Amino acid sequence: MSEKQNASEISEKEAPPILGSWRKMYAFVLILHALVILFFWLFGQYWS
Amino acid sequence: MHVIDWLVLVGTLVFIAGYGMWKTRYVANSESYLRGDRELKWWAIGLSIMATQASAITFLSTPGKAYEDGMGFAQFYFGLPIAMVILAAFVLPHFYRLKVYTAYEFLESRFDMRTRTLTAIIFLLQRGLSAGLTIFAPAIILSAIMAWPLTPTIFAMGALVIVYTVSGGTDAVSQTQKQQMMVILGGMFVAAIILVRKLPPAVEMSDAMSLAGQLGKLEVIDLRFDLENRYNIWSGLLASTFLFLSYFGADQSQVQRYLGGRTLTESRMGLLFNGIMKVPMQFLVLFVGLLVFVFFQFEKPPIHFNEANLKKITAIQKNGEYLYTDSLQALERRHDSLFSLHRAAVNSFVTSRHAGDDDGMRQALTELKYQNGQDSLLREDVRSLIRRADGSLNTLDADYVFLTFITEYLPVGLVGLLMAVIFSAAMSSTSSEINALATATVVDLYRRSLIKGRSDGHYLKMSKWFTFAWGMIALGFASVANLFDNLVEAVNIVGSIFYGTILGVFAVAFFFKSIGGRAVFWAALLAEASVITLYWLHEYGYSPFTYLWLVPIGCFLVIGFGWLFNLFMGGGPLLTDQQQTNGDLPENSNP
Repeated sequence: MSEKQNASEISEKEAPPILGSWRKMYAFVLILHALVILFFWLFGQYWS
Repeated sequence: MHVIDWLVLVGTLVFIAGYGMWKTRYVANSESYLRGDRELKWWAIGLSIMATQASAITFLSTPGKAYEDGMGFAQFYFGLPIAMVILAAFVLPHFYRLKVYTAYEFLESRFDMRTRTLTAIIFLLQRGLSAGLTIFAPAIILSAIMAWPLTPTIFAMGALVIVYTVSGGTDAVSQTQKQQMMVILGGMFVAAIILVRKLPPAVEMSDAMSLAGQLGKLEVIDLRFDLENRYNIWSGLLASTFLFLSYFGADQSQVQRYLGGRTLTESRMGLLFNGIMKVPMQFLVLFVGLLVFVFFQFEKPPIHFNEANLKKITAIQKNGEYLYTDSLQALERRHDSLFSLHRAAVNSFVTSRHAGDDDGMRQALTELKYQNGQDSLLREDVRSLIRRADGSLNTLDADYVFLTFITEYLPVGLVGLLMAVIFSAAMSSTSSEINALATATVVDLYRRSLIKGRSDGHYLKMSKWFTFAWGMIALGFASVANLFDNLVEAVNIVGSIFYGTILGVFAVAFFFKSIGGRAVFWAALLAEASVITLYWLHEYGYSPFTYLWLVPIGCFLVIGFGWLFNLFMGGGPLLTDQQQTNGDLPENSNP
């Protein structure tokens, strides 16, 4: 296996800088997005 | 514009361009020029992605949309974070494994050269058209409001971009986008603060929000499912996800941005950063437009926001007599009296709110809604007058709302800063576009199929020439383009017509391993023809699908046709799983 391929595989297995795993990272982004949408809905309801 | 504004504008733009050229002065080979040195950190990738997407149109048109229709346009971006997660999880690792320059290069490893060439050509067509619009759209608005001649405005917007993009390639684009994005975000924050400070002293922020909310401008979420309604939560979460998957996953102007990451992790984080920041950023831009709406509840707005239209019709004369001046003056008088009543109703609303008088608020609101209805009728009368005077004039003026506010109500210095925001946005997206167009031209067509086996110096030189050529094509198209409907929508419509097909090809590549190159090639052609037909059917009222739905339709058509063709004609050659895992590209694909 070449050095470049090796580096590429290591990079693919590398964990994100926070939360420990990519699965948790993606869940974080999606949950945050759901909260933003909820905030928008409450924002609209409150002022109208 | 005041001389200080000119200094701020020109100083900001020249500094950014100069910085980009200085930082990339040692680009010496075609890989560096086309792919960059792959040194970008996640936040730089995120800013670069956001800067590429946020064109000047975003900052001119979007506040106008909020002014006219409220905050509902934010829903258009709801699919973006979902798309970012899908791309980071499933697509990005493939691109990194194959070490591709372009997204289409991947398709050759999965299907064949024909499919790679077809998708690259569809990209060049679609993005080539959009690059012209990216320059033209803000130029026509700026020229109308600032009374600058159109063609020199177009060339002023394009020339500096072409210089630094030709000079430094991909890295110059990324370097300048960091500064441009900071100017853009800073400028929009300043605009929001100034707008709040410009409200009358007796009006609190909560009064402004209550007023906007009661007038139906703060309803961000529309839960009704309606194919005819362009912006609701369902079209945002479903159709937009496909649009953004296609835009970020298969449009080289974006792919090139995140392929410049130092590692796969940096690129993934860059995409997710965009997924987190983009929706709030669009909310901010829309919110600025909403504040402009509130501001014009207390301050008399112009009778028509595109003042150039009014100047043109008042100048029309026959036998020494001005034909439309009297009619316009009569409308102005009606506008004055309507606004006095409107202002009285707004004051009554605020006073009642402060006194806790619910009945008074309801009464004031009823009066206000009636006055707004009258105002809409008046504005329609003004548009009719403009059309009667000169049928060639565009009477939609929502895109001119924010720029009118900037030029008429901001203090000296800040006008220059907000102009720098608009120019920075135009330059950031244009530079990405011409950089990506040149890269796809060189890597997917010129080096792959037309002129093979030449020296790296030759390909570097040709990359610079193609960047220059695409810049000039964009300028040429911008010079002859015509405005239609809302400018943001014009760009999105062009994208929706082509994106579905490209997305479908990538979806087959990633998720339908048994379908081969021959089947997907013909499926893509047939799907594109079907999507264009559907678009025109909707234009003539024979189809319920608005443009946003064309992306998922195009995508599913490619998958469906691909599956069918695969059954009847066979798929064509497939790479083995081992080849794909190893990231082996066919011979000569990446010399």
